[in-house]
Amino acid sequence: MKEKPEQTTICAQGEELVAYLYGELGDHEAAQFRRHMEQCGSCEQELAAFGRVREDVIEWRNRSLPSFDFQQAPLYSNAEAATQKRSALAALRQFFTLAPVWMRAATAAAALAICALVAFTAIHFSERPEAMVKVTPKAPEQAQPRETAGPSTVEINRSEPQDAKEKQADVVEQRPVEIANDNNVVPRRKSRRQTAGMPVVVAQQRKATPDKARASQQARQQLAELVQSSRDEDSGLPRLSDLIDDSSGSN
Amino acid sequence: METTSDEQMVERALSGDADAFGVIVRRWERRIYALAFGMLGREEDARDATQETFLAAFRNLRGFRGEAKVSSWLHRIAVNQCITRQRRARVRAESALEDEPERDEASFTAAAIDSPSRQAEAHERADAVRRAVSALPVELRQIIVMKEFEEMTFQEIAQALDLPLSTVKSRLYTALKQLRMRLGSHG
Repeated sequence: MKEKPEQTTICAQGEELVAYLYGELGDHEAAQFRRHMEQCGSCEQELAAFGRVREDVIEWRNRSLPSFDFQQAPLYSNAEAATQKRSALAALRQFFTLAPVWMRAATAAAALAICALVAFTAIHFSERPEAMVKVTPKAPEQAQPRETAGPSTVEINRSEPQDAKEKQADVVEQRPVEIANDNNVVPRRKSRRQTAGMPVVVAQQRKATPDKARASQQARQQLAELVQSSRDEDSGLPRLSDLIDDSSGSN
Repeated sequence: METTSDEQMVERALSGDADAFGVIVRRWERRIYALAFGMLGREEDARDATQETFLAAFRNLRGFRGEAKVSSWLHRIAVNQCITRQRRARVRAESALEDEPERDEASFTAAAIDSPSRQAEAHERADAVRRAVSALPVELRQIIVMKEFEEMTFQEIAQALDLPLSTVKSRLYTALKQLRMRLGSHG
């Protein structure tokens, strides 16, 4: 009868049945179950049916599994290859997974120190161009009279048509400044007169002559223009060279 | 001769021995693959699940506390991997097993040496078994696969799945009953 498996459930022999089916009952329990089956046809039927199911499943397993050869293509080698593809990341991950805590902390500290060093170096080198910018305005002033080689000289040489005029202007521009600072050469009265007649900006620029190296090119040009204009304004006054000639003549 | 236990190999791997985990993989890859194949029914899926199992185990090596056996731990990971893969496959298609009957047909016919009619019959039967197994609920399927594909004892299954022994037996009984019903309808 088809309903007998239900009776097996009712008689609660299901667990014993599968244990007997798979040979996991002890000798005593197995003997007991055999005696039970003599009295319970449904259990006997069910055991036979389960046996056929097992045969089918094992047949499927045996037909399917041999198609993958573990010896020739071990999964480990595939897994290893998969991890090797991302070697750097995998190595890091492996390290941080397996390394002791103190080692991880030490590594993190070392990484931070390296980052700080790199940052310091980057800042240090990024400041240099600024320093060069501050210094470079000085170069044309020094380079022009001597005509020394260098980047600033090359740039100046590119604009040669204006160069001569600028040189002249710069020489003239520098003259009063140098003379104003040299009390031995320039009469004090003349120096005061020139400074007093100039705009405040020019006067400040002249007072800041020791710091002139830091002045930008634009400021120097502005200064040159202002000096030029002040010279134009003072065109009615005697020229410095004349005064020098006069003083030397009087001596 | 490998005398070192799995648990000792895990300790070695944790202390930086790169080869130690490889030994564990080589020891268990076949059984884990068998489990994955029984659970998923396809070589490709089984291979992927096996690799993912060992990768997950490697990543979580520190999580292994030694409270259970390495084999139980690996089986648990493998079962979870299979369940995850099957869920994903269900999203893509109703049944991944039904997508590629020709793959298994090829392997079955290659293995068969009988007449074409018997080959066809064997293939049909094997396909029916595969469908029946794959149609089982996960909690039943994993037990019958562990039993039939890996030939684990009830005690080992109970340990691996952290289940009472009686639950393993009753689930196996239910699984066999359902398989019998399904396979009975196929003739």
